[in-house]
Amino acid sequence: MRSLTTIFAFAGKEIRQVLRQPRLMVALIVGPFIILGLFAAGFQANPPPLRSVLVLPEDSGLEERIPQISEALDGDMEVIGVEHDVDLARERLDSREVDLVVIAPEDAVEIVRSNEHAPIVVLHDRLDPFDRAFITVAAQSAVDELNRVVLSEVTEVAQSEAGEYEEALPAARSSMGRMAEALRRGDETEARAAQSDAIDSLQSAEEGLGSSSDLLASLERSVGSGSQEPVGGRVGETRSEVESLDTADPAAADRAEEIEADLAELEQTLSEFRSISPEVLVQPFVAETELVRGQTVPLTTYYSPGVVAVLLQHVVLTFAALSVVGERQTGSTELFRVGPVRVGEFLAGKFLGYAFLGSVIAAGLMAVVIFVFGTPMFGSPWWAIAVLALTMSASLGLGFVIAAAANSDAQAVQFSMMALLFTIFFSGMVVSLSRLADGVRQVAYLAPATAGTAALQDVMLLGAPPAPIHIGILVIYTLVAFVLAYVWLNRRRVA
Amino acid sequence: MPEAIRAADVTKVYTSSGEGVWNVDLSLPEGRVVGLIGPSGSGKTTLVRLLTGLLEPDSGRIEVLGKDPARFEGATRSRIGYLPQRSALYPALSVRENLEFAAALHGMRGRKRREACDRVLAFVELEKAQGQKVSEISGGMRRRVGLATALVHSPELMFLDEPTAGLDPILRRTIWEHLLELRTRDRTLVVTTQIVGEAAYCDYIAVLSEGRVAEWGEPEELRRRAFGGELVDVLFAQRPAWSTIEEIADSIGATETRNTGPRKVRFTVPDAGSAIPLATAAAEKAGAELEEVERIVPEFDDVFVRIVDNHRALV
Repeated sequence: MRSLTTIFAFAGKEIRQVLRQPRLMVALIVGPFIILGLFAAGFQANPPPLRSVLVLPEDSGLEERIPQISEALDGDMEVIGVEHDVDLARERLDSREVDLVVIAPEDAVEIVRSNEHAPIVVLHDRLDPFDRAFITVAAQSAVDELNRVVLSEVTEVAQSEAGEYEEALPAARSSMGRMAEALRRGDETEARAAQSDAIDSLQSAEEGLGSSSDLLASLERSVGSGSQEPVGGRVGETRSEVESLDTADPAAADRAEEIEADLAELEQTLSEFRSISPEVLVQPFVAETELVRGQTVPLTTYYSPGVVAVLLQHVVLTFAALSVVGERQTGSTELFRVGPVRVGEFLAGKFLGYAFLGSVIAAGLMAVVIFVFGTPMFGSPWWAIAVLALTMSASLGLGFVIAAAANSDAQAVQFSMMALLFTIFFSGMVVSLSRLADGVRQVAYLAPATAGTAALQDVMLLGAPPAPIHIGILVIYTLVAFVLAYVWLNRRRVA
Repeated sequence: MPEAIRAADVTKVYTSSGEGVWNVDLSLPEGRVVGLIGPSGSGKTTLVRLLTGLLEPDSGRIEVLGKDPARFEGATRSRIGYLPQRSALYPALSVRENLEFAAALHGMRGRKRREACDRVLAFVELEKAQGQKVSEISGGMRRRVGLATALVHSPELMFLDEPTAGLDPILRRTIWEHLLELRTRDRTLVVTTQIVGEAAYCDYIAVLSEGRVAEWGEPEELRRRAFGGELVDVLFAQRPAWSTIEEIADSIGATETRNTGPRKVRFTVPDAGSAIPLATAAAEKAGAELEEVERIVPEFDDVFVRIVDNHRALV
C-alpha cells in the first residue's frame, strides 16, 4: 500500500508540475499542435510549377504546340515566354526571373533526317537533388508530350490519306460480287470484265493505302495477337488471287464469293483504323494503378501517422529525461534515498504521470489529424490506441535511459534532440524505410517512433491490424528500456 | 542514555579529490541536539551522508537507530528525517503540495496526511502561506518549508545539513527556536553548521577539522578544553611587578597567565567561581590594588578557532 501511495504521489506531482508551468506547456504540449498545423497548412504535395522560357527558332512550328504541352504537363511547368535568342533567355535565368530555359534545336528536321534524335536542352540553376530530379522528370515529360503531339499529327495525316482510298475497296468487293454472279449465270465475258474491274480497284487501293493503313496491323502485331497481316499486304495478296482466278474453273464462282467476303472484312478493318483517335494510336498504353488495401490518400494524410508518432515520442521522451535529471540536480534524489523510496516506485510514479499527460497529448494529436486534417481511420481505433500506448511507453523508457546517462539538464536536452534528429531521418516518417540499406534499417528501430509510425500507418491508412513484428518491437523495447533505466538509475543511486 | 548514533573508526575518502573523513568516533545520545561544527570542507556533510546511508564508509562501523545505514529498511528510513543543504522543493507546487508529496513518500495518505501537514505548517508558522507556490516565497520561508518536509512524518532522528546557511540572524534564530522545540519532544537532531555561535544551542558538539573530529562534548566542556580551563581577567589600578602576578597565579592555581593589556592580566584556572575571591585576597596580601576581577566566557568563535588551531598543530 505504501508503494502505491508513493507511486501515485509521484504521478500527481509530475502532472501538477507540468500543468503549473505555462511555458513548458506551450513548448512541449501546444508546440506539437502548432508544428502539426504548420505542417498541414504549409506542406505542398506538388511543388509550384517551374517558370519556363522557351528558346525557339524564328519560324518554328513548335510555338503552336506550347498550349498543348503546357496543358499536358498539368502544372509541372508553366511557359511564361518565348525567346528567339539563347543569351536573352539565359539572362532571365540568371536574374531568377525564370526557373528553366528550354532550348529547341535550330534544325530539328535535318537532325531527324540524319537518323539522330534532335536534342531539346533544358538549363536550370538548382542544386537541390530533389529539385534536379523533378526538373529532369518534368523536362522528359515535356519532350515525351512533344513527341506524342508530333506523332499524333503524322498519324492523323495517314488516317486521312487512308480515307481517300477507302472507296476503292467497296468497288473491288462489288466487282467480285458481279463476277461471282456472272460465273453462276455462265456469263464468262461479264465475269472477266468484273474480274478486271476488281483488279483495277484493288491496285488503286493497294497503292493508296500503303504504310498508313498498316499502322493498325503493326499495332496489333506489337501488342495484340500478331495474326493480322498488314492491310496493304492483304490487298496486294487479294489482288494476286483475283488475277489468278480462272473463269473457266467451276470453283471460280465460290472463290469469287469468298474474296468478296474477305474484302468486306478488310473494309471493316480499315474503317476501324480510321475511327481510332491518333492520340490512342501513338500512345496505346496508359498506366493505371490500383491500391488493393485502404484508399489512396493525399501526401499530407500519408504523413499524419508518422507526425503523430514522432511528436508523441519527442514530447514524452523529453518530459521523462528532463524530469529525472531535474530531480537529481535539485537534490531531491538524496531525499528519496534517505526516505523509503525505491527506484521502481520512482520510475513507476513518473511513468504513470507522464503516461497520463502523453495520453492527453496523443488524443489531442489524433483528434487534430482526424477531424481537422481529415486523416482517415480505416482500421480499429482500439488498435490505434494500443499502438499509441506502446509507442508512448517505449518513448518514456528511452527518456529514462537518457536521464540515467545524462549528468545535467543540458546533456539531457542534447540527447533528446539527437533522438529527435535520428527519428526524423530514420523513422520512416520522411524517408521510407525501404530506402535504407540492410543493417541501417534495423538500427532505425532504435527510435520507438519507427515501429509506431509503421503500425499506425497500417491501422489508419490501410485498415489492417499492425504487423506483429512492430507490436513485438515496441513491447520488447519498453521492457528493455525500463530494465536498463532501472539498473542504471539504481547504480547511480537515484532513489 | 541510549545512543541514537554510534560511529567507530569510520573513514571515507573520495578518490577524486582525496578529501573525506578519517577515523571518526562518535556516540550521540537520543533526545539531544548535536551540532557538527567545522569550516567549509571539514567533512560535516560527508559525515551526515555516511550517517544517512547516502555514502558507505571505506572502513569502520556505523549504527544509526541500531542499524547499518547502508542497509536501512523502509521502516527504519521512515524514522529518519533529512534536510539537505539545498532545499529540494518543487517551485511550481504550493507549500502544502510540497508537504503532501513529502508525506506521501512515507506512505501517509488521507486524513492522517492532511493532519500531519496541518501540524507541521503550524509548527513552522506557515499556515497562511500554504497555498503559495514555493517559487513565490522568500528564501527564509523556503528553508522553513524544507524543515517542515523533513518533519512531516514525525521522525525520531533528524539530520539537518546547514539549516540556517544564508539566512539573516533573525531567521536563524526562528529556525533554532523550532529545532529547540523539537528537542522538548524527545527528538534527536544532528545539525551541521558553519556558524560557530550556533553551538550554544546544542547539547553536544563535534568540532570537525580537516576530516577528523577535533573535539567532542558539551559546549561548556569544549570551551573549557579549548582554553585549558576557565578564564579570569584581573584589572589592576597600577601595573604590579611580575612576581606579584605570579603569586596571585599560584594562589588561584592558574595554568596559564598572560598580559592582555597594560594593566590587565588573564588567568586560566580550573574553576573561576573559587578563583575570583582567592585572587582578590592574594592581591590584597601582596599590596596590589584591583580595579576589577571578572570571569570571562569566551565567544564560541574563539573556542572554535582555538580548537581548530590546537588540532592543526597536533596533526
